[in-house]
Amino acid sequence: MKTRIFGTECEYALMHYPEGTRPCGPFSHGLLLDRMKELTPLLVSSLASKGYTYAGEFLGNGGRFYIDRGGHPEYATPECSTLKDLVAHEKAGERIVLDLTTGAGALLADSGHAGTLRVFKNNTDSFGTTYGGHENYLVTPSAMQDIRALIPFLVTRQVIAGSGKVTAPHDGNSPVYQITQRADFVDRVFSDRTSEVRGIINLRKREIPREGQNRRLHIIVGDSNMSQYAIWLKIGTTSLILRLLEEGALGDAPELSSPVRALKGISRGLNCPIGLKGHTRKSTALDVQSLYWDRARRFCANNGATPDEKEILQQWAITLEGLEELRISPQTGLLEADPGNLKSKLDWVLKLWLIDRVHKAKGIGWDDYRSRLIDVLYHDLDPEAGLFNRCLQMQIADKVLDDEAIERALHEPPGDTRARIRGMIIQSSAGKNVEVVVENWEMVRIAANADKNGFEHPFRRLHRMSNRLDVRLLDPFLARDESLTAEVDGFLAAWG
Amino acid sequence: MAESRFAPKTKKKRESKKDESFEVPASSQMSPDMKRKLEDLDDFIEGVLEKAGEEFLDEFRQVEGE
Repeated sequence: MKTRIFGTECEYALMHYPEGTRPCGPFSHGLLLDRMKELTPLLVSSLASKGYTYAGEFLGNGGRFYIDRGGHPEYATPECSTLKDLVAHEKAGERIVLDLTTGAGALLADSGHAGTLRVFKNNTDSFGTTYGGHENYLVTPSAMQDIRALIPFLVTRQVIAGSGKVTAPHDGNSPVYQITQRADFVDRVFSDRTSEVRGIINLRKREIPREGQNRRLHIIVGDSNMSQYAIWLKIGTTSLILRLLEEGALGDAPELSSPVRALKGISRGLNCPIGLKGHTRKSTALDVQSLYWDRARRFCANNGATPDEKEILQQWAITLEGLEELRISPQTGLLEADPGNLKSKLDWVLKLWLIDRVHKAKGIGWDDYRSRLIDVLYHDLDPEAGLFNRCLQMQIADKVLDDEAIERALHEPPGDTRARIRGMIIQSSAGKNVEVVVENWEMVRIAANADKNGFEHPFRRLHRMSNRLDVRLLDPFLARDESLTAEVDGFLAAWG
Repeated sequence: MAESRFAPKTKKKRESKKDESFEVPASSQMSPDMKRKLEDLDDFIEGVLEKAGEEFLDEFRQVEGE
């Protein structure tokens, strides 16, 4: 499909700094989780105090905020159909989560836990714990049948989409720098689980597809990116390759001998040799990426490309070319040359560049704790302390959209998907005497509350059953429906 | 260096942005603006590393997510 729906889900990490001390105290060593029962309502109550409209876990911008497994605040973007909308909404998600965390931190302080609550957009700690950065794409049923052809692309995509990671010292071995945060936590190509056993692609059994209808492809191998450019390129290249798959242009895609081993190997070395089935000569991640890029280029030349696809093709080439010219010292593991200035575009390169600066300035090596500290502080969303955000402010990291687009995405849904209708219902119901329950991404229920004088209807359940409006949003592309809008407006006028 | 596989399609864009910090590694040859920018960045990094301290890594302990 030329127009595709996609979205991302990011789990965030929390940390509490008690006032006047280093980060330690009642919220340390996993105790933060014990306090999540207290913290969750504080985060949620911050939604109202910070001026966001919401209904349960869903927001007026069509996205979703909730606390996921492990006590991680999670933000899922609304359904987007353009890359810039997707980047704007993922970055808006960072601001919303930061906003709520700041609000919850203040409420914590009011309740006697003075200090600062901080939030990080990464995927791992130093103790071998991981949390996700997931992607969703709407794909045709036929593409899902042939989805294996996407695996070599996804395994090698980390060279443009990795966030970088300094592994903790282990069994006397020095830390090493990895391109991606998630490679160590992936065990197989496909899995129906998202914890303990993870696949590159997740096949959730509960996602039962409707006969003949498009499917949701759930990719869980990726990192949460700070770089706008990396988010844009990651989603854009994946969507483009999915189009090739859907239109039968990936029939002779390469096949990796061992996808999971290749994933881990590339993460430890950009030029790690990887085996392709039917080939005696080893390839590299860049070889595989360039092969997919070339297929995409030829496909677009013959079949036409959207403006987004044309831009992605061009920037993908520039990035791959930059990676070919990138030099990393085999002795020190540090950057020797980055003539394509990829540090302005890719998280893993920028993080390595920052580590390089500190190593040289301080005369330290990978064993020094500061290497791992940079790794984590890179992802701190605090504008005063986060290393990536400082690089963005200093124009060392590139932007792909202006700040106003992110500001708009805080409150406005994308205009061309069903998220627009969901957001419209949540916003227009705010302050009305109705309860909006967003059952899931496909269903919104509006129910009339007790009467305006506050008296409970004697048959409240019956009253609500007969005085409710169920809005089904089965078509993700349906952004405007005048009869539906009139129905919602009529219901709100009658009951709100 | 061998010609890049992407060179013919990217000639125009490649001249877009130079990375002064790598192309002119000697600090004496950097523009004053770039030198100041990098000094500011180094000061910032030193400040946040100092504030966090080594204990941060022990305290930054999370629980498995999805």
